[in-house]
Amino acid sequence: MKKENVKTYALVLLIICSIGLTGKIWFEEKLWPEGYNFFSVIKDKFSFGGGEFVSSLTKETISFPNTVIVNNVEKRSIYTDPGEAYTTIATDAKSLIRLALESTSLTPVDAGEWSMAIKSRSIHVTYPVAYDSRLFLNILGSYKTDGISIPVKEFIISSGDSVSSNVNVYIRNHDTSEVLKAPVKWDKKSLDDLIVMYAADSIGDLSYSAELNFDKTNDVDGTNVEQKVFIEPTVPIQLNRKLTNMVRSVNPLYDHEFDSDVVSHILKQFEYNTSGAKKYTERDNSVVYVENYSTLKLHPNGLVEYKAIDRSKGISLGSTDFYGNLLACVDFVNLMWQDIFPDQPLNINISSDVIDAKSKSFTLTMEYFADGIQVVTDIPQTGTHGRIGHGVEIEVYEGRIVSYKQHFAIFEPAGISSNSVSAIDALDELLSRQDLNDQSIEELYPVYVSSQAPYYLSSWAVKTSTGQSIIID
Amino acid sequence: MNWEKVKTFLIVLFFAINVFLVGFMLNSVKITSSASKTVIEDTAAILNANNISISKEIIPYSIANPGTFDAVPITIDHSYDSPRKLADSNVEAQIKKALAVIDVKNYNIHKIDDSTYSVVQKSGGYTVYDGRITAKVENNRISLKGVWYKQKTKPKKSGNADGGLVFVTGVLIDFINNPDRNPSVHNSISSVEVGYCVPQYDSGMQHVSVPVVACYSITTSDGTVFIYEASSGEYLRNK
Repeated sequence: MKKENVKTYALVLLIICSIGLTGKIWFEEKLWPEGYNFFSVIKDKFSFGGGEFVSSLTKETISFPNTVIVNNVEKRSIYTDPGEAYTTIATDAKSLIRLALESTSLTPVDAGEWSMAIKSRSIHVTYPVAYDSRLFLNILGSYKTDGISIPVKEFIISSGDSVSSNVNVYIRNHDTSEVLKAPVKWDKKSLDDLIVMYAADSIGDLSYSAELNFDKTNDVDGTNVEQKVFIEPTVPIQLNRKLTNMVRSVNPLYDHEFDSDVVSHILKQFEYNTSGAKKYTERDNSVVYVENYSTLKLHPNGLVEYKAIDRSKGISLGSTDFYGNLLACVDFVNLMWQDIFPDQPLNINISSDVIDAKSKSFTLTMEYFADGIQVVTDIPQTGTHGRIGHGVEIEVYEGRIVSYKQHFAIFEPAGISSNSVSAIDALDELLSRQDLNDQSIEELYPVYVSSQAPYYLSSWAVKTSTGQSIIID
Repeated sequence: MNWEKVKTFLIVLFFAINVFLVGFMLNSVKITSSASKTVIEDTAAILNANNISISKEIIPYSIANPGTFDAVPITIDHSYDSPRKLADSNVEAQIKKALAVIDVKNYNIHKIDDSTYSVVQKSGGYTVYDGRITAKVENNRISLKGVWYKQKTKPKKSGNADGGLVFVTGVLIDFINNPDRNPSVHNSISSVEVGYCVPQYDSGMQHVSVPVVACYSITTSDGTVFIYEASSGEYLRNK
């Protein structure tokens, strides 16, 4: 009996020791490096397709336009991503634009024909940034490499007259405003049906600048009109107030302290040794990781900054041409987000023109979107970082990322709606506050602007002829 | 069911598990780097051929990785009035009391001259080369000035991607071309040790927390100490 008791005590003691030693190893960070979370690794291993990662920024989605406006003489509607109607129209539009850029029958036409096309039965397609047309063909999936090379951003697809069986696609040179026309073989009836179906609203709600004479500064029809600013003729102007949703931003990086899991993923993405990187904490709680040839700064406001100290040692994009490097940057942003937030869609799009298709060194910017509306990133300068004006900013030098800045934020509906200011009222507000000094307005678009943090209200922004972006808030 | 046999089996099983866990614990932080005798001898020969005198006996064959930890840098500027008249026999004891007042522990004290002592920080038996307080003795007052690194986290595995350190022989070879080495002065190595140092990073702001990393110190016969970061072999500075 005594021997049995001894064995029992020995067994109990050994079990307690095992539990104690296991706990000591697990919880004193002797098993895993900082940021490792055993339970999240197990969850990753055993999660069977919990949700497909959705990104709005892929090679495929870059090829989709920012807005499509469907015109049917007295009817007009504007569509943006997301939406079934948008996807249906944009898919056809992309194919037509590709065929037009591949065409060998491009002929120059005057601006009047461009204006007439937009007023007739047509689809007006606008991209967020200007692309070199040869590169853009690549983005659209074409293998043609010897097409024209002009900066393009805006297209009109017109069903044309009843005599020709071709559809006309008008291509506008973003720099010179010259217009080229390409006749394209297409099922004209299906295009007409598409236009009739989706041009649903009255043109009274959405007018082009030319229809409101905002593209003229001289006397109009004998009346003395003092026009404070010239607005490009095909800029759409929403005349009425619309009900829009407020959004709010969530900082996924820092909540009283940095999320160790997120930090670990970010370190790995920038090829930092998670156990060996030297870590400095500053007075404002920002953290700097230093490796031999680069620094990685994480700020409590969600900003992450990577900088290569030696430009020849930045993160290699693995490509020798501009387009390859551009896509590699897109992949980098996507993969990092997918790795850190696999259940959160990444709604982001390119906001810098993609024109110099030969360069291996360039700066690429991207902006967040919520509900199809661009979110303005405007983080003021502090003692530890400069002003941040984009959601993502990447500097590429000779095929390597040498600087990367991203303001990590997740935007979600705030559950509050409000009537937004109409575009007309926004323009009035802008012109009452500032003199545009002979600059014309090339774009007028809705944006979300930070109100009282973390809330964002809808507002408007303009882009002028000198490339300046002005937020009207 | 024969519970006795089951108990015996479980005792053996858990004993084996505990042995494994203890072995794992002892091994997990202190990764050891080592080199063969030939490599050590060749390294000494190369240095000697480059007019740097070194005895192969001072080159360590095996080095345990001391790990990396985070620390809070503390600027020390404190005066202590000794209740006793200071003399050679009791100065060090009074310095220790002065250090205890400001909660400084784990150090070695070296006498520089009659009125100056150097307090060198230690952690886990290793010297922290950047943690240093100078104690000046004047009349019955001890003035303490310097920088100390208050440990915030326990040492954890550090090093290169393989988890180990660059072996010291590579660092010794690099020493031949060290930009701060004066060939006519720094031509004899008196010691090679593993310790800790704080890599400098100037962000323009005062750091609240800094990394204290494993380093190699190469001390030449004139007392100059050359510091190399042990995970990368990068030369940091000399003292």
